[in-house]
Amino acid sequence: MAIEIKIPRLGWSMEEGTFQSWLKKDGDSIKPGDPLFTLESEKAAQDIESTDAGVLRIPDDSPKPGEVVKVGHVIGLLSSADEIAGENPKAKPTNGDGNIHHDGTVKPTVTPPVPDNLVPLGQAPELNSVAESAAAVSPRARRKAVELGLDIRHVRGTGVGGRITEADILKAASTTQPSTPHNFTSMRRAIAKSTALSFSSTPHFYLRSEVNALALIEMREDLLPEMEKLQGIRLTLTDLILRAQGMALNDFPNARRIWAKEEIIELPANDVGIVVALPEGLMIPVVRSPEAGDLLAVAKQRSSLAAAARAGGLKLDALQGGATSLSNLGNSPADDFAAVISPGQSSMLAVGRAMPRPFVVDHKVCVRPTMKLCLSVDHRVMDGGPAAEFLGRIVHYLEHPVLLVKGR
Amino acid sequence: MPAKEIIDVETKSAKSLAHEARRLYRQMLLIRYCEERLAAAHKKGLVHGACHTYVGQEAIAAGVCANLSRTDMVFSTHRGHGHALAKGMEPRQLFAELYGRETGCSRGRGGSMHLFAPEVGMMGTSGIVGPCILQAAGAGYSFQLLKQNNLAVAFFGDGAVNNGAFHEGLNLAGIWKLPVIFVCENNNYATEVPFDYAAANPSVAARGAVYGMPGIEVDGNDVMAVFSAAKRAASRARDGDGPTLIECKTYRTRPHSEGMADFGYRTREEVEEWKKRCPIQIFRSRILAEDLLEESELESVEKEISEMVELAHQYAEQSPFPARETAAIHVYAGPADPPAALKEAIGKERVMTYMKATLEALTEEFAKNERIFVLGEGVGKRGGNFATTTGLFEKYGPERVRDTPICERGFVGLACGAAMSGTRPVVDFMFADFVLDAAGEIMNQIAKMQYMSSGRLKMPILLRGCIGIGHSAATHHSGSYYSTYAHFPGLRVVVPSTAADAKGLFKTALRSNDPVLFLEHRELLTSKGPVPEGDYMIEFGRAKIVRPGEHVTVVALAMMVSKTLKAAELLEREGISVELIDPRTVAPLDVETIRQSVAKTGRLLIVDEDFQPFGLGAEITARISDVGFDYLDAPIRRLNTVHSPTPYSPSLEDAVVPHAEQIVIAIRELVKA
Ligand SMILES: Cc1ncc(C[n+]2csc(CCOP(=O)(O)OP(=O)(O)O)c2C)c(N)n1
Repeated sequence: MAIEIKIPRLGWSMEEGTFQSWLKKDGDSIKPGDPLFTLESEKAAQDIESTDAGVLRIPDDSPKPGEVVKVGHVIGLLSSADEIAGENPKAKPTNGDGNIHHDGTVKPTVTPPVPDNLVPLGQAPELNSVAESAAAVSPRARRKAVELGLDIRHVRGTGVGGRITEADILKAASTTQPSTPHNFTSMRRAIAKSTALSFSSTPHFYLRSEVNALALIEMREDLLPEMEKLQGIRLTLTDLILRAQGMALNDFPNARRIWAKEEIIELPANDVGIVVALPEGLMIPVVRSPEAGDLLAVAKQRSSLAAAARAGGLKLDALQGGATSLSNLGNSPADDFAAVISPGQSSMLAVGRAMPRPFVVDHKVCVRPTMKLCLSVDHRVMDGGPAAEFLGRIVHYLEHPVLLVKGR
Repeated sequence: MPAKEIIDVETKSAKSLAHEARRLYRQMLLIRYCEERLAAAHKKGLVHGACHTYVGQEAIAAGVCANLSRTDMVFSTHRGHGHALAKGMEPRQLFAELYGRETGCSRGRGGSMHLFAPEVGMMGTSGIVGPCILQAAGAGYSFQLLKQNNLAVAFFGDGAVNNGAFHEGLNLAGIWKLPVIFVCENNNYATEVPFDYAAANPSVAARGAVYGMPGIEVDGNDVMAVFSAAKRAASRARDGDGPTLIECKTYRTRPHSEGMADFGYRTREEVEEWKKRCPIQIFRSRILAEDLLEESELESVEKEISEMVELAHQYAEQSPFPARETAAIHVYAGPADPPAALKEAIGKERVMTYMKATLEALTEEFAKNERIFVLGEGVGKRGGNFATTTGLFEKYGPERVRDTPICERGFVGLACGAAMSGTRPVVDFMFADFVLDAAGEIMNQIAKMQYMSSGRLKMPILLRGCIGIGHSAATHHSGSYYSTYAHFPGLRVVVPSTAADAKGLFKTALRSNDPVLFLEHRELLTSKGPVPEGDYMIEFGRAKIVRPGEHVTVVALAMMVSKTLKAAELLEREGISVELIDPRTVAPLDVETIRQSVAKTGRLLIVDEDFQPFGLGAEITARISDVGFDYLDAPIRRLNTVHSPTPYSPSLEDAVVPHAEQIVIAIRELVKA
């Protein structure tokens, strides 16, 4: 089945853009990641990359340079090799126009477009024939391709000398065969789309800080048994960081701003998203006003959202809102990392594991449990100075955890 | 001296005199008739390979073997039919072997030059000139160690006396006063090379003095002379006075080997002259002249032997050829598995050096098995150059902890004979580089003996030595060469990388009935690790997954294990997860564990301190491409020591051997490939 090439939404508010030019020709073999065309939104022109593989078909009525196009408009198709395979490369086409008709079907061109690494089926050699492709295929990749029912001729190799490896097959399978359950879920696809969108359309910058977490950890350890006994809820470091983030948002309303429909709006509440890892991906439900109420309420919210996410029972509105989120990999070996901002938000706080590390206290190097924070910020919304202030508030609260108990 | 008097020393009665004479006559005749029949069979194509007959030399085998009991042992050469028959091998077994049949003495594995009948003390003939001398000395060593009143005999031609085995074997027998008779059958030629050309001093007997033993020259065509000389040598040996060298002057009247041209190097006249001195005719005349037997009695012996030989021929001709599927049985004594009960280490762990761990294994096994003994330079009082035998000499004395002269071929060949005759030698090479000086004994004799004897001889020999590059040891003290040894069927090749493995594998080696090359990396000797107390054994052919991982499989051995481990830890930080496998034994090689790992990772690197061409990596690569081709996601890579002699200068030495940094790079590249 041909895959439609649509005009993407490049920002929160984008409804239409200006088509500039195709970056590939009709009949070109397209690999995921290949730039397809240039699209101009209000702020900038952007090369739009293909998320799929196939042979590019540009219809007659494809937009001309300078034409304004609506988001979602189909401007071309990627046809799969199977479809090419259905064509008889030797046969003379009847109409010979080689274009996509408006019903989306493909008519053969005079010379069927054959990508460089794609062999017309009529001459398709056996799998292990030398002529199969210039690029070699590892035996493992070959086996995997058979297992997944993937036509290896679609795949571009990234190994030495262009050798197709298992990773290439898996990658190709995930883009060309969305129905293959092996390695592709709708959640994965959604994550792929949203992170790719966010990362390519949001100008990220990063601020880092290392916090002395001694007091924070001690306090949590003090509070933990009691809260657990009383309420059956485990207070986690995540809860405390959410609290700190909420309080910082409250102190610093600039950080509640987001980029929406080509303008900056300020959200009213101090909501904070929390990244919940799931076997097949992740979800970011939003904790409402973690800066308010008592700590226990934060812990309760967080734990029920996480449970719902794991059980697949999150309500849609639980995913809405918040200008910032927290990604805490405290239970992993990651010391330090930077996160991709969740679409529709303007920052994301990434926190690595708390570990004893050398830390300077009173001009002396001591060993302290520390956490490394990294705040990813949308430059459209916030510049370095204000963002640093926001981060500074978070650090302040984490290093003075008594303030967290009290809340706003 | 009349035959009567020679025989008479022990046998007083006329009846027993007659009996002895008939026995000798019968024996010579049997050999002669067999040889003539075999020569005819060779012409007809019934004998498939070489056939070196003994015609003209019968008196020697008959005269010597008449002094031996069944439990005495004979080690012989390519011209060994006569020795086998004289030691008691049945003629039909001999015929069947030469005809290549299942009923042959070596079940068709050996032919003319590999005749085995250990059940009657015929310990084998050999296609290599020389080793039988060393092996006989080894059997002498076993008899001495086990306090058995037996003796060993080596038969060899004049060609062997200019070979190093003669020098080393006689010297060892001389210094240790081993119960051995060295019988040189000087028939004037080695193939076509005259002895008076090949030997600067043409007297073999005279060489006895060099090795501190009597050297006796006798007329090898006079059975009574041979009998008498052997008799004296035998009682000397049984009395504990040591070895004797007997040079029997003789002549073979048939070509070197059946079918070979005979008159390029000697004349018909010379051959005819010697035919007149036929040992059988001479003895026959003497029996009649001295009235030991009647002519009719001799005739009936002739008739009986002639019928017997014909029956042997028929038996052999009617026997089946061995089944094709049995072609590779008996290469090893049995599976390499130790008893299940001993597989698991249960003792409490102590931290000790690699060196101490093997010493502990040796010490424990020494106490349990009195057949174990150690041979080597400096293993006695000194306790071994690498402290491999510390404390054993004091406790067990020189017979079990034996300092050797510097003659690697000699003491390895001796160890071969010792293993063949029931003891369990441990050969301590100090540096395994010296193994090469004994290569023929190991690869051609020790490795093949079980097979050639169709599984009747076991070869429990442990050959140990240090391998590896480091500390500017330079090229004669740095070799690994394990791939070379693993190339030969019949050898186990063990290369442990940790103290605990070293102990467990050493114990397995000491209880295995196969020859084991136990190679210890010198740079690991002082490395420490936890070692369980007491008895435990590690199966040969069972690799260890030193470290599990996901992205790439690395097989490394000996010193390369710790280097790879270091590399893996560095790579872990880059997100590259390495599965490290230490095969521990090169032969047998645990391909299955590697296959399973590659099935997971799809990528394989072999890090090997031995040379790359035709080596361990090549073998693993080929085997994985057989059984795991479809798992591979990238070409298999090898990282080896540079293919050059090992240099001395630290900068050069460092440049040839793989380090963790190079391993890191190789793995990174492989992961990208
Ligand atoms: C180590 C070795 N080198 C060469 C040969 C080839 N070869 C076989 S028999 C023989 C001559 C041996 O002469 P000798 O030991 O005098 O025994 P003879 O044949 O005279 O009985 C030679 C050189 C061999 N078998 N082994």
